[in-house]
Amino acid sequence: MLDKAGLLILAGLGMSIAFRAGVFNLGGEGQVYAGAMAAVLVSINIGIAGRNFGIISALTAGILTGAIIAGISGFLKKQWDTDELISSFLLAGIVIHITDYLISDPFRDSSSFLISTVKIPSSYFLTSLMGSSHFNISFFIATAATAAAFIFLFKSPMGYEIRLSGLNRKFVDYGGIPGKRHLIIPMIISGAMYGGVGSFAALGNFHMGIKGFTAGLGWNGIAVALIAGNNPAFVIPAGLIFAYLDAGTQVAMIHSDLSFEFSNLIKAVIFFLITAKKFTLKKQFHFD
Amino acid sequence: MTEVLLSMREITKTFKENSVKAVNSADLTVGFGEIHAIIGENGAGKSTLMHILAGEIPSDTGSIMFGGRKVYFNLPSDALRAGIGMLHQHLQLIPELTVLENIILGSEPSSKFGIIDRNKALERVNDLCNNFDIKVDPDKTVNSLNADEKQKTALLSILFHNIRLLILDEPTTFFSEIKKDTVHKLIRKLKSMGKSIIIITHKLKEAVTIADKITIMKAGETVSHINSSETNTDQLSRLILGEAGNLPFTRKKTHHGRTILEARDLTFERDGNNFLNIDFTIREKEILVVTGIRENGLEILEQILSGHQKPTSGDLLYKNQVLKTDKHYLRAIKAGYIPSDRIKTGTSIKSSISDNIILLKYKAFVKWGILNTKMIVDYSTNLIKEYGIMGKPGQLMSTLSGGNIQRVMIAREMEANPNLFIFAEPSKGLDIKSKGAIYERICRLKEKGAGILIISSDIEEALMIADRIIIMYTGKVAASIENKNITRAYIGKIMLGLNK
Repeated sequence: MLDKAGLLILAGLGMSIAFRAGVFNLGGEGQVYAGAMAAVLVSINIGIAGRNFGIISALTAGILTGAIIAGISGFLKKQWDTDELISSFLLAGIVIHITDYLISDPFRDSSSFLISTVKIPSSYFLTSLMGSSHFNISFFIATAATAAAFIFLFKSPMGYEIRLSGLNRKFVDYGGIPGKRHLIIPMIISGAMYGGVGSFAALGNFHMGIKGFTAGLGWNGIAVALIAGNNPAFVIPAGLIFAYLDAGTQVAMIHSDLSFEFSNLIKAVIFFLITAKKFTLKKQFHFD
Repeated sequence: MTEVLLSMREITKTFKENSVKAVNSADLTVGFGEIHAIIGENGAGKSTLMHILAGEIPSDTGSIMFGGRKVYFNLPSDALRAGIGMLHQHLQLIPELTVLENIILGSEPSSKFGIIDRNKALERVNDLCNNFDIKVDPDKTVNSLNADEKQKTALLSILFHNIRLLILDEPTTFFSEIKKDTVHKLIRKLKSMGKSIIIITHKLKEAVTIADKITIMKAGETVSHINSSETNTDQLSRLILGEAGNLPFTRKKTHHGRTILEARDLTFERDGNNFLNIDFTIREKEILVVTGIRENGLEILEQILSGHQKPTSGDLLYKNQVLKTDKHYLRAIKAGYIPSDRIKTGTSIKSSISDNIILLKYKAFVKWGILNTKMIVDYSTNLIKEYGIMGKPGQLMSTLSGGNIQRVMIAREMEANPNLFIFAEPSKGLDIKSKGAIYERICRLKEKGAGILIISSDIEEALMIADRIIIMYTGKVAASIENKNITRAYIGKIMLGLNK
């Protein structure tokens, strides 16, 4: 559950920053998937390398892939005012199919029953810190990233520009700050976070590329950001709640004859109740 | 004594955000067919009291009797149904819908099966237009209308709901001399139909000429109720200010220096209309006021100077260098600018005072790559004190009154020490005292050596602060004169094209 929470936190963070800037990245599904695949491919191709070097290059590849895909939508928005909501969503559609193809044909492990790539070398595995669980360092990285994102958004000059852009882009331009810059940058940040999520999932949880293995993480990132009210400080509890719900429904399914559909229905009801505006934490952060 | 239509008793409203009593135990009585003016300084609680009456914000205590019954409105639609409609300073229309759709919104006449009966709607709207002598094209979408037509549409949308009491918030602030008459005619027409009208205004003359009764508000309280036939503007301004009511401001003479900004044959053509052909120079220590009716070229001029429209021909020169104008050029030459659109452009209304006030300087607060919160709070606190802003650094702009929002912008711009300052409609919607303070600030900036361009449709203002005045008429410079021995009437004639 905690390993899942780490991934959700990271995904939620990326979305929070994008939402704060008033840009919408609906391509998370594609960015996570492609990022994960990039990490897998790098691991397989570099092969045996120094442990840290290998992991870091795989992560970097994943992050870059996510950032580039999201960056394209940001660029289109800046250059031709293409709606980033639609372009990121459609782009994800393309990317998902390309990744599916890569897994099911050129890089498929024909000896496996799954539609998957070969296993990545074990030197790339993120070591489990808790027995048989996949709980690994990614959770702590996500936590650290939360603190960094909070400082970035509320204490850095660029964060100031991004927040203002999200609230009133005209005002930012009026102040002489090129507001269009903050169409691309937040897209890239959220894409990079999604790419990171994919890489962590690949290296920490699955250890190979399986068709559709990261499905859901992109959308759930949006859900986490919404529960957290786009505030990095609340992304950690939101990610934990979400992962807890997930784990809870799985346990319920395994130990009783609760159907998959019904468990998801319960999850949805809880999610509805949490996001109802009246109950959300409305506190905003300002210089007081 | 006319029969009483509305009586508000001991209305109190405290805003949670700043725990200020915006309205404090206020009383108001309005009779059938009465025109009632509410006057007072900015932040005196006029608008808040009316928002309570129109069901837009709940009051904490107090009671409202309307038409002989005790009423309590949760929503503006409740008030509208009861017969109270309010025309806002900032119009509330849906830009994508047509004029007709906006007007009938909320009480669409429907035929069988719940389908909107367009013919019936059109008929009723046309009747309404004829009745009040208002002309609008019902099939145009609202975003294609000019400011004046939008105002008319908003008004019609209220009149459409058979109201008994109409509240007008600063109806003539934006209107030129001609249109002011139209508004006044309309108000009298409504009165003759037996409707009551409450009008919030800063213009004392307007209050005396049009209203039957006047209520004066001060710091949230309704301090006096007077018959307008028993008073005059001098007495009213004394009541509002508690002192001699003249503007506490006199212009100082300065020797002008070098040319800062120059326009050479600046022209803008659109839809066959040729605006401007304007030439002017602004020198150091000089205030140039461009005045006229807003639609006669002031709006376009502001758009060009702020870089939102490119002139079709002609040049703009800064210190003898030709400028390339774009959205950011003004800040690139370190010029100050306060736009006429304060809410959507000049401020980030959902951000704090601090976030607004550091816009031009935030990079100066960076230490080790991080914005230093303490320095920002200190800086904001100082400016809040110095510029007399009622608020705290972390408070949201949206909780401030118009006058305070204005002061935040002025503090921000003045502290950046611009040597060119462009200010559109500096005192729009402000009371006498705030006006005086703003003129004082502008003059101090001038004495420091800045060149100042003011775009203002207010003649009094032009006469008050200008060294030179340019008067626009139908998009052209009709006159460019020194501010020496000229009268209000003289300017008025030129801006209406009556001088020939």
